[in-house]
Amino acid sequence: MIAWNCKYTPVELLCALGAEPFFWNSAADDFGYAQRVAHGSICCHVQAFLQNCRDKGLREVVLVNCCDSMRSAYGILKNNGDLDFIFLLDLPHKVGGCAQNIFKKELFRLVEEYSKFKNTVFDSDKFKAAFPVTPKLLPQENFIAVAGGRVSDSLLAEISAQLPLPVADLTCAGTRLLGAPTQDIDDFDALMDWYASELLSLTPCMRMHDVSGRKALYNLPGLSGIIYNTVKFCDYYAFEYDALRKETKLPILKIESDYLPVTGGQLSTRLGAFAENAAFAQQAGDKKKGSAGGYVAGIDSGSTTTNMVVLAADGSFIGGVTVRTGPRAAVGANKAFAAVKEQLGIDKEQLDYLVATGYGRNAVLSADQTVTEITCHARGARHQNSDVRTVIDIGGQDSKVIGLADDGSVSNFVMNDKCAAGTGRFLELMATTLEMDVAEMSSVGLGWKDDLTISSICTVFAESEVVSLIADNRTAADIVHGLHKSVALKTAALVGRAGGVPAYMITGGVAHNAGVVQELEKKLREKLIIPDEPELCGALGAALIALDKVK
Amino acid sequence: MKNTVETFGKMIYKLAPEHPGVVRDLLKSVYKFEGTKSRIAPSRPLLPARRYLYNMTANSICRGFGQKGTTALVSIFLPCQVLHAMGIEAVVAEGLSCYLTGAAAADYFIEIAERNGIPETLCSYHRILIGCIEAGVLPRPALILNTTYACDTNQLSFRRIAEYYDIPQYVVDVPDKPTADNLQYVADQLREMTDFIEQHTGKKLDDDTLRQRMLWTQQATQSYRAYLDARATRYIDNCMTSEMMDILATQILLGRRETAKYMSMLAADVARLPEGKRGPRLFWVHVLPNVNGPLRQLLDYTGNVDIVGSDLNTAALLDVDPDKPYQSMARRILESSFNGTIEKRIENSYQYADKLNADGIVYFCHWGCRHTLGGSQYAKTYFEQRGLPTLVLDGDGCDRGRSGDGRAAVRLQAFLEQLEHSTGKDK
Repeated sequence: MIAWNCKYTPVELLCALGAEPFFWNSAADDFGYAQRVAHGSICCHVQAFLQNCRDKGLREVVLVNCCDSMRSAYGILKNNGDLDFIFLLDLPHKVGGCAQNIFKKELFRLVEEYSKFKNTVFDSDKFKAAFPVTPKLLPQENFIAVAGGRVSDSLLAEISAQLPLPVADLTCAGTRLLGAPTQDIDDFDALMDWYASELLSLTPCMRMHDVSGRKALYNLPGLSGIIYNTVKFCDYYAFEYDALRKETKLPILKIESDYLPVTGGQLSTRLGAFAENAAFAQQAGDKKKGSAGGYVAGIDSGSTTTNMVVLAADGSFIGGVTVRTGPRAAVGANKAFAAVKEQLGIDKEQLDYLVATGYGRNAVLSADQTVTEITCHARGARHQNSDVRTVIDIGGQDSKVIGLADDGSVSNFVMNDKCAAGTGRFLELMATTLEMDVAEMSSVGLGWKDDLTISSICTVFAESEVVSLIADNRTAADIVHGLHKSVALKTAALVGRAGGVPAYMITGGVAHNAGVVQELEKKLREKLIIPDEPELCGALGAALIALDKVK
Repeated sequence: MKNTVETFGKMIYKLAPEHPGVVRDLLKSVYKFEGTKSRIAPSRPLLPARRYLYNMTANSICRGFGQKGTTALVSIFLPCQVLHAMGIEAVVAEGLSCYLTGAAAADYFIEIAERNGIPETLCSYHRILIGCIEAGVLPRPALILNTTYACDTNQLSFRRIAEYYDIPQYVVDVPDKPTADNLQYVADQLREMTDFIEQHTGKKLDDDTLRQRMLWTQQATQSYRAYLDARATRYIDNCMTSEMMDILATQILLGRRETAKYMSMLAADVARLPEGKRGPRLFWVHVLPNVNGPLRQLLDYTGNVDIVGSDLNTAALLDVDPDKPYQSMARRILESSFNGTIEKRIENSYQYADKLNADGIVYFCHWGCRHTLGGSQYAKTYFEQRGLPTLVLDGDGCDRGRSGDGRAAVRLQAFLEQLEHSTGKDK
């Protein structure tokens, strides 16, 4: 068995040499070994490959020098002595005649080295037989493409399971649609010439010089939406995504994967929002209830607080509550129901329809429906101000920017939920370090004098930077102002990536922080719309969706 | 001085969104002034050659900010002799970003790049370059010319800029081994690149002028090798910036008369110094983070610590044949230690570290450079098995937000203490 991982690998040639090639594209359980022999900031697919080479006991590997991480991995694998055979194929960046000739010479080199290793010779029958009789085809009906950088087998399965249409793998590793030779070519040199040409004619990956052929991928018949993946610490596809999101009319969702086991919450929120808002959305699972109690509600189960909004059946606003979520989302939800009863006098049984949203939405067992916070924030924001085109929600655990189409539906969104920097949690942590509460922090920074910059990107390191500034006798006002600038900078970058346009509404608890709002307004050069109760926006959107169900 | 620079940086940050032209003029004025000051009255004890170099590089950066459509944006390993022969200024990300960061003026450009969708994991030299262009501060170059190595970023940032400004781009595809076929492949592309430049600028290349540029390249290379020979047994009270500026001289400025003069002056300056070492002698792998204040305190003009060389400056010190310019340039590209596998680069670094009598190696993991990062542990093992203590140091060459100031300094200081102890200096 010989492992390969890049579509430009001459798999059929390996078969002709008596090898048993298999496509190795699995996530790793962890990166302990990979980070010991390489570095934690190289491409996560390459880290997984290094890890699996050791953990799964791979003995033979053919790599392609498709990126800097892989070039380094080759050196590591070659020198750690665990493999019986390793080969690094030099793939040209161009595809013309001279480049094809150079690539053909690389195929010859592989034949020479592998034949010597296995003591075999090229078998033309095996070569022909290695091409599939029926080439793999794309779905004939409407489908969703997973595009961009490669996804692990397990992530592709997870995506497929959560989307309402068939999923096709159009990532860099998934578009190996190679046809068999249409005529007999007896001369080996001529055959390899043909083969080199076929390989170089594959849909180009972003590493190739001329990537214009990729445009065809996004105009395939039946393509109904795009899940666009980038692999952590691979920069190639972020560039294509930035262009694609501006050009395509199709629903598009950006995800980032790291070749570790798939964790449910973050991915399902994104996929759920995508499915809810795209044209192919299905209404399965929705149920319509009668109007026994005369109220509907939305409950937003967040990491820090749980918010609930109750509307009357005619749509009038009855009230909203906010409670601390605590360690379990279900407990937070129960506290919210209790608060609604106490403050608004409405019992859970009086709710004709309840929509749950937020990270803990699935823990609200009494909900009639769950909807992602992306959709709910969009709905809630638009309801409060019809001019809003971009919602900026800075929550405790994540921050997100949601673009709204003219009709108020979600046109695009980006989330930052893998890093605390730029979130409410970041400010909470810094407030603790500065020995003040969050509310105090909101106003203290407004009195700054010296314009400090907190330059560390990471929350943990930013905290040590703050400690250094305290030791340096900097005033709290200056430090807080620096922190507010840091949050604003992160958020503005997120707005840019989402292609956000005015009017902007800010929601979530951080909207109460005057310092952050002021700095963000400076960065965006635009006034932010702040709703009366910004933390209730998601719950309000959920309640409005509930209202739709009973009308 | 630090406060002056910071104030200047803040001014640039405030002006850039509305007045990119003013920012451009300000930067040009400051670099012109700094170049002249370095030549006439440097604030530090620079060798005469380095004073000449600082002025030369500052002037080059100023020209990069000159008239729209007069420059060529190039990658660091692209041979520029043809451009020099045709009087076209080469602008390189590493030089431009280094100067912008030196003036504390890069923050806005990083911000613009990230806001425009450039991943924050991309090499910061290129993020600053993209930001500077998309902010309208760097004038539109006439051409983009780049090799496919030393890093993935070349394929991405240059393509993006070419599309952004609709600039003609020529890419030199570089295979990873210096075989005869590959040599011909690259040489043919360099000839084609010359035609491409002529076609898009209307300028004509004179063969004799190119031959002269290759002669100066050869003189400069010989002088730099002579400098390294002398350097092996001598100490310079030095700084990270000098080694960074040498990267421009050993790469894109090769083929200029001034560069040949600088290399010759450098060899002569160092040969005149007394033999002997002072503190730890360091060989540096990859770029030098000369924006990091605490690291500068440990490395710049200490009267003790000595950065004796770096792998970027010793990547391809090959002879060239002025009568075979394209073959010579192609060979330099293909045989560069940065082209190909990580082992080649590390072996080359070891050869020069050994030649320069280094006591230890700092392997700098510049954020975003996956080739360097990926090879870090292999390199450490390789060097240490050969008796050279090695520090793998994470940081960023020019993004102050990622330079990890204090943390990097603790590691480096401990490493210097370790070296001083092992070489008996602390006794």
